[in-house]
Amino acid sequence: MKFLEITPFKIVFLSILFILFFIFSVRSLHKAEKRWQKVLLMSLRCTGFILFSAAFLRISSLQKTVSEAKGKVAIVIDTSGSMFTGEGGGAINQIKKRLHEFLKDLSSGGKEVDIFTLDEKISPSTLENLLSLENSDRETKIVDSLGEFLKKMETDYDGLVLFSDGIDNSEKSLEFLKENEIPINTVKMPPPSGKDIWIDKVEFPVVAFKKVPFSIKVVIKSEGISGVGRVKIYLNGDLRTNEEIYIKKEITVVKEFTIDEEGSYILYIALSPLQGELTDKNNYFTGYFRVIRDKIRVLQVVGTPTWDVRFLRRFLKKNISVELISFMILRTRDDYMFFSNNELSLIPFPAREIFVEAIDTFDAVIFQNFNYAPYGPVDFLVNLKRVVQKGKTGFIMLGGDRAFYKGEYSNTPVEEIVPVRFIDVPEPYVYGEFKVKLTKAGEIHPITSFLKEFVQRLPPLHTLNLDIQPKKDSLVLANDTKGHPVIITGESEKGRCVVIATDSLWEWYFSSLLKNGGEVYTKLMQNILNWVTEDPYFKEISVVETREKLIISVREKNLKECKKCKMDLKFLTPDGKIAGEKSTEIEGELVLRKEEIPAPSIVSIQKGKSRINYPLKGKENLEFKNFKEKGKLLERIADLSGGRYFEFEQFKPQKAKFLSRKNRMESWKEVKEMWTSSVFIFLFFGVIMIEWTLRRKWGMR
Amino acid sequence: MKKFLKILVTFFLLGNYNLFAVSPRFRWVQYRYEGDLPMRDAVKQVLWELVRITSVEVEEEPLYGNLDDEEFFLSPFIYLTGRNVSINFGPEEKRKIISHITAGGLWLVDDSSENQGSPFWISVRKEFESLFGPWSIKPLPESDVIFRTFFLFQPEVARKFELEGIFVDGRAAVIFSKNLLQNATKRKYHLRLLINIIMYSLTTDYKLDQIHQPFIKKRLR
Repeated sequence: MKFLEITPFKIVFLSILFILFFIFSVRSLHKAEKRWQKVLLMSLRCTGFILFSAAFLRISSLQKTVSEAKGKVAIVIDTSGSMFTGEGGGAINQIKKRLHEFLKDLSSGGKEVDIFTLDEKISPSTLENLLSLENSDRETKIVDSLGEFLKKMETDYDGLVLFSDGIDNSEKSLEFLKENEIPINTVKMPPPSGKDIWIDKVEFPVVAFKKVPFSIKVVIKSEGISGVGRVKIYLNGDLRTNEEIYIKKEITVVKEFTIDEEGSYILYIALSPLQGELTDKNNYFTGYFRVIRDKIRVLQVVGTPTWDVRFLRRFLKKNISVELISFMILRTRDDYMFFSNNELSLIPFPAREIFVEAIDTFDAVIFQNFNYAPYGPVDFLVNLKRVVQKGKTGFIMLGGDRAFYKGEYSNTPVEEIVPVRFIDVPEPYVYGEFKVKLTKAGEIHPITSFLKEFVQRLPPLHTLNLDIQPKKDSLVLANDTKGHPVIITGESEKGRCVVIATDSLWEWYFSSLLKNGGEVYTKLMQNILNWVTEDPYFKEISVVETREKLIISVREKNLKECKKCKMDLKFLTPDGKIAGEKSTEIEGELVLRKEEIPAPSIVSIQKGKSRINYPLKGKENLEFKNFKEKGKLLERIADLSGGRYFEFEQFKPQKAKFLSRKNRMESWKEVKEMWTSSVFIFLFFGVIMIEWTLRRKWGMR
Repeated sequence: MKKFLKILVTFFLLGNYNLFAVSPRFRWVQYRYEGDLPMRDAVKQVLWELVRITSVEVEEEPLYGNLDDEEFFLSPFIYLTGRNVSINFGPEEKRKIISHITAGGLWLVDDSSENQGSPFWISVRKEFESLFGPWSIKPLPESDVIFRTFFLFQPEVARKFELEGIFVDGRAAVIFSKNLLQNATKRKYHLRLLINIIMYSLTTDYKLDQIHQPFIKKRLR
């Protein structure tokens, strides 16, 4: 028996109704003369109310049925890439040929069979689907997917039969099989065999340092094949090595690279396929690493020792992010020369070592009141220009009485890269009191914007260079009150330069240190250093990657948010081929959905002269890495789960182990709603009529 | 020749054309007190030699003042000398001296007395010890960078000067010497040491940079 409509509302309703019914019934019974009459009438009324309630709640009679189901078996077939590799279309074809026979045997043994495929997970399939499968690139994750499958389906099956070559890329262990109740029978398929070459191992740093050489080691192996091949190494789509190699059983290629830009990098290695290879899918490797800067390597070249030199050196030496190499001209050719070398601690100015041999190694070069002319040919400055324009080195030029025009830099490569022209004026370097103020660009530029709140309180500078004139595309960040430029920034091709037209900046340092301050000079110089060395914070383009999106932010040259910025996007494959491109105009930010970009790939973003390449990580496919079973995996699975292990040729479904439990299926079937039966209606109305008749007979209303 | 003309113009014809006390160039700044010894001629000669021998450019006119003068306080190099007069810094002066030295300033304290234990020598050491601790004055080893900032001093020569110093932040921030300036015009090594100390005030530990070490080691016997 079951109530079909038993709801809280109906219960409440019936309870209220019963209370009312009881009150009225009791009150109407006072005319009955005898007690037994009262009891009889009340009983009849209650019976009527109960019958009404039963009808109201739709009381029904239900019948229990019990049936027995056939035992079920799951056949799980590995359909990952390796099963399709090898002679005759791979191991999968051997299964296809005999699958009918296996199914028939299992059915005749009283088992119902469900078919599943296995690659990165176990999915339900059908015989038709399985037979129609032609190829796959997917990875095998036997252990991971078995764990998931058993969690959900364990109680449904009497056992599993797993067909696989045992090549597995799972991350989990087989621990879960100890709690598993159903036997897993494993059938070992022969692994792919044949002639093959493959990239077996690649060693490279996860993090490399900017401008510091690092090695990439590639181990190439071959089986049954040899010959001349080619190995190509790409970094962010740029071909960096293309080397001919003779492929034999094992060959190791080691290459050294130096990267000048910080950021994320995609390493792509391609090994040219040889004829007759089993597969060329294992001839490629994709990896990811980051390039960060260890320390900013700064070269400070000084024309004459001054307080400005002393305090800049103090700032640089105290800065733990800086590796400082200083050269100070302590004696010129015009000075008194008649001392023996042993009396002096001086060394010859290593102009050649600096400007020819080591110039590429510096992140920033500072010329501080330095006149280059006596120390080397102008060719040395050509090297400086080269590294600056390539974006390898930032350049800072500080003023003084032997800088700029007086330093004989007119019409030299230095004049080409700095944001000012050196001009011949009657007073190139003057003393005075020069109060500094920020220009509009300076108020928002990240180098000087912080000065806004300090600049009024800073002491005046006492020297100024007037032999400079800002170029058209330069950015003057600070002037004196008469409009003479003091801090000027600019770009030269990919490089950044800053000119400071005074040698009195030390006064800001020393005077603020005296007053327990010091933050202004150090912050200003740190910002300048970061800006010229293109610290990521000071880049015009930046990319933030979230789980689903790439957020590209673009800023103006002065690093103000860019309004209507024209930007070119290219999507490159890891070997640098253009897979797609688009030009767009954006306001500050562009959001790309990662699912719309094929990975792995490189998103190349260009705004004017600024460009960054951002690698988008793809999932690494280990399937074809090597075709060896992972440590007798199938035998262990069978052993731990209580199943049996078979070589494919020996497999017979009858020999597999399954549970012999019978599934009892219990179900309840609704037979009838009782209130609709004639007995129920007769009973209900019978009770009412008897009650009415008795009441009339005993003279009650 | 070019240099000689420059020195002539700087020292005799134009004089000090910088009207402001604060300059990026080296200026001889001397602490003035009642009973001090200006020794202007000696200073001028040392500066002449400094300019003649090195690439350092100087403000020709020395500045005499004390810590009440704003410009005096803004000079990173301060020379203090005396003979028979004791030195006593006031509390405000003491605060400013500590602030000046910790900000990077260098003090050269030079005893001009011929005698051991002059009132100046005893009092000035006591004053600085009261600022930096009772055992803060230590002998400068002959390997100190001061003996190699320009001229290279062989160890036995360096030892003869018996220089002492108070070290702040790893550098000699107060140097104690005897008769350095007054002998600088007469004795070769005194002049050289004074030039080294001036060079040290401008370049600090530059000569300790790795690049110089092989050369210096080779030249030291």
